[in-house]
Amino acid sequence: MLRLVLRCDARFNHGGCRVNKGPFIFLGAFASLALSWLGLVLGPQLQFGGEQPQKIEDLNVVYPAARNGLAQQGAEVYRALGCQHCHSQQVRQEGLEFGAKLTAPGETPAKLAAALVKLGLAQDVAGANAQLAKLPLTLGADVELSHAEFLVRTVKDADDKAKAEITFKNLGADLGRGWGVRMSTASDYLFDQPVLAGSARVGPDLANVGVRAPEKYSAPWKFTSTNTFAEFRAWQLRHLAEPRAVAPGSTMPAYRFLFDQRAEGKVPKHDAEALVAYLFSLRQDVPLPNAPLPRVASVKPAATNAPAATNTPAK
Amino acid sequence: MVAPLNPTIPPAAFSSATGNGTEPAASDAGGGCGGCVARGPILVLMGSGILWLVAASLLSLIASVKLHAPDFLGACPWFTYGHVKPAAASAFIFGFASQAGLGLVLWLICRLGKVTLCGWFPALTGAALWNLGVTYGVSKVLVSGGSGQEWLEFPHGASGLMMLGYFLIAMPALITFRKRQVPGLSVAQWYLLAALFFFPWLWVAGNALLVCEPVRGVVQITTGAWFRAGLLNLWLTPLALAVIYALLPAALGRPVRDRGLAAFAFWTLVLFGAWTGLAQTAPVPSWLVSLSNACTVAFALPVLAVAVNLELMLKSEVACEDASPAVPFLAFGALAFILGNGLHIFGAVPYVAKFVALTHYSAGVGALLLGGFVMMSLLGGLTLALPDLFEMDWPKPQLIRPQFGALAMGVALTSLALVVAGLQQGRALRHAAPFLDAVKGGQLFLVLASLGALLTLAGVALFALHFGLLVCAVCRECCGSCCGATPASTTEGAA
Ligand code: HEC
Repeated sequence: MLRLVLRCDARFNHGGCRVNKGPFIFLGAFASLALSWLGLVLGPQLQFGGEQPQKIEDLNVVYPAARNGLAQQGAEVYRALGCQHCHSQQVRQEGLEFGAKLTAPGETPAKLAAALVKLGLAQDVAGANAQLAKLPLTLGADVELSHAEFLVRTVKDADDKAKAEITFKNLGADLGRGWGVRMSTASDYLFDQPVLAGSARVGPDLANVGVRAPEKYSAPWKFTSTNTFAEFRAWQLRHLAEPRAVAPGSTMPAYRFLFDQRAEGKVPKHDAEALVAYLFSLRQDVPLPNAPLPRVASVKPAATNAPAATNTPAK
Repeated sequence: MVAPLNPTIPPAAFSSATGNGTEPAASDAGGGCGGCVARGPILVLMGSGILWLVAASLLSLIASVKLHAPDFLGACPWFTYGHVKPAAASAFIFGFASQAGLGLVLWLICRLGKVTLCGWFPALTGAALWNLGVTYGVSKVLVSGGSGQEWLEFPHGASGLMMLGYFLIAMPALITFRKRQVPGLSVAQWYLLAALFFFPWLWVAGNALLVCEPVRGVVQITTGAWFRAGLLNLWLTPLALAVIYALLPAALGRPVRDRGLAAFAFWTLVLFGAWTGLAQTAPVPSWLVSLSNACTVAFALPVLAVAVNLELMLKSEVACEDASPAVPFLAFGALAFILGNGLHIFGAVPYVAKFVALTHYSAGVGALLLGGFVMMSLLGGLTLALPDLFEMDWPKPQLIRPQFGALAMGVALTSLALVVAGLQQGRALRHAAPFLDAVKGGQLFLVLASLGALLTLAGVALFALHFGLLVCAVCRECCGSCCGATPASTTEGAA
């Protein structure tokens, strides 16, 4: 039966074509593979291969900074335990929402008031003056960039000493969950080896877990003291040892083998401590030229050791 | 030739299609002791491929169960989710698919070219090295975790052994190919040559740039995407398509209709194949994402062309019960190729991607492409190849149907459940639903996915068992003929 199958196959498959196209196939295949390699490997390498940490003038920090030793060991633990198979480290953003804001009046409040009336922000001059009394004043929210520019220009035309600025808000489901304050960019991964951006979200995104507000965890909790790192560490260790004790219904594996069972209770091994240090180092909250942050968000330099700036959603 | 024991396969279905039924069959790959030895490496590749498939199915069942019952095997660090998941994928791709695929490539090269394998010894050594590499790699992933690069989880040593093994197998394959007695190239041979050519480039470049001397930062993301898309679309896919194109027309008694269309499918596949992997959400410049996206959509061209090509064949009048038992496997594989890629392209549409990116959806598509398309096509190939190589029919042909049934249902259930779980998860995550509610909402589908994995494992185990029976029968017959005892117990019918 099988021989027959094969014989008839030979007959069917060889109808007509007698030319040896072997070399032709090799050449074509090589060319197309080379093309994709140029596009997806060499192209990005030329664009990013030489990238260096950049100086962020506003904050006077260099970003990104290399991890400290313990956190770097923790990155190895994270990779070896395969956390990246459940946790992504990439924050998505779906655009910006613009607005305009008046922060200080200039020298001719009367003209300013008239402009506000013209923009429809006040019924009459008296109303406008009342508005001007309590600055900052929102000139527009959730508008197109061009309209925000128009609002600022109108105010400046009326009174060129007045201080008006365009505001924006980063938008997206991830940001709304408090998983980050801006999108992830190429610079964020400069010192990661390997890059563990992940491809699945069985668990929450961890790109910013080091600065996540406790109430934004999937199992919310609260700081009870000012020693936030100690509390962060305690929570993470408890969660690693017994995720379902902290987050009922969680499907995260319990990493009990990262702890020694002693008389005084569970004592974290070195790997657990390193892992916590790594989690604490995960933050993408420095504004970058291609991923800016609204100025209202108070951002502390990433180099400090305290999670002062928590990721409240950009509201 | 052994008479078909399966009463549902009348030899007439095939012999009517062959012009010359008297040609001595033993001349093409079998006869003589040289032929016997030449089959060694092919059988080793296929046999160890089947064993790896059992291991891989078991590991993916464990990984799948852990997603809804996280404490299952929870105490053992080897079997933590972050180890079993990559171990299962590696065992499947490198242990089973690549290995059984290489075995089938050697077999097809001999068969389609009517030659005996040249250089059986290097090929056998190669098979041994490949297995050594995969064993080392998978154990390393289980014991201490992978490299963190998906599908490239193995340590250098393992990848190096595999590369060496690959060359020792591919060289004899190419030499044998050049010695073929049948001039010209069939569609199956295009795919098989291309696959043989692509693998070493992908493997060397992938390992060099991501594991040995890693590129920095996001270049790792684009390189990883290139490697994975390449491995799927330029290595596993051509292997499986070669099997389908070689065997389905013959098994159905119908030719590949339109060689022009087949050539179009081939070249578009080769052109766009490596581009389709970059996720919508990847934190890389948007020009790259757009380019990858455009190529993903363009990948519909080869898929449609293959679909039309095969549709012409599948519209055959050969009634199902007349067809070879391999036909359902091959047809399922072809269907899964079309559906799986269709879902992949659908998931790349920017609006849809907002929902499905980073969810179980891609796991579902992966299950359909790897389990449905690659696994089923290769098993269909093995169903035909193994009896041919052993010169003995399957001892229990009635087992082939249940094998197919369990595998088809298992793969379909797993993929469907994961795709639905992904859609559900994507919807919940885009809306304000608390994360844990989204997790709970997906549990049912993940349980169903595990059920599918269980069925798949059952089908695979049955296949392996059947293979074991075949090997036993061959051994018995061998002993019988050597020692002069009557092979009364063998199931062989007289030809
Ligand atoms: C099987 C998938 C899985 C694996 C593997 C996994 N996690 Fe999780 N993780 C989850 C799920 C689900 C949650 C959400 C529920 C919870 O808080 O436990 C979670 C939550 C978390 C959180 C809290 C984040 C938040 O916003 O609530 C942290 C931190 C975390 N995981 C760290 C890790 C680390 C570190 C590892 C590796 C050692 C790991 N996870 C491995 C599934 C996983």
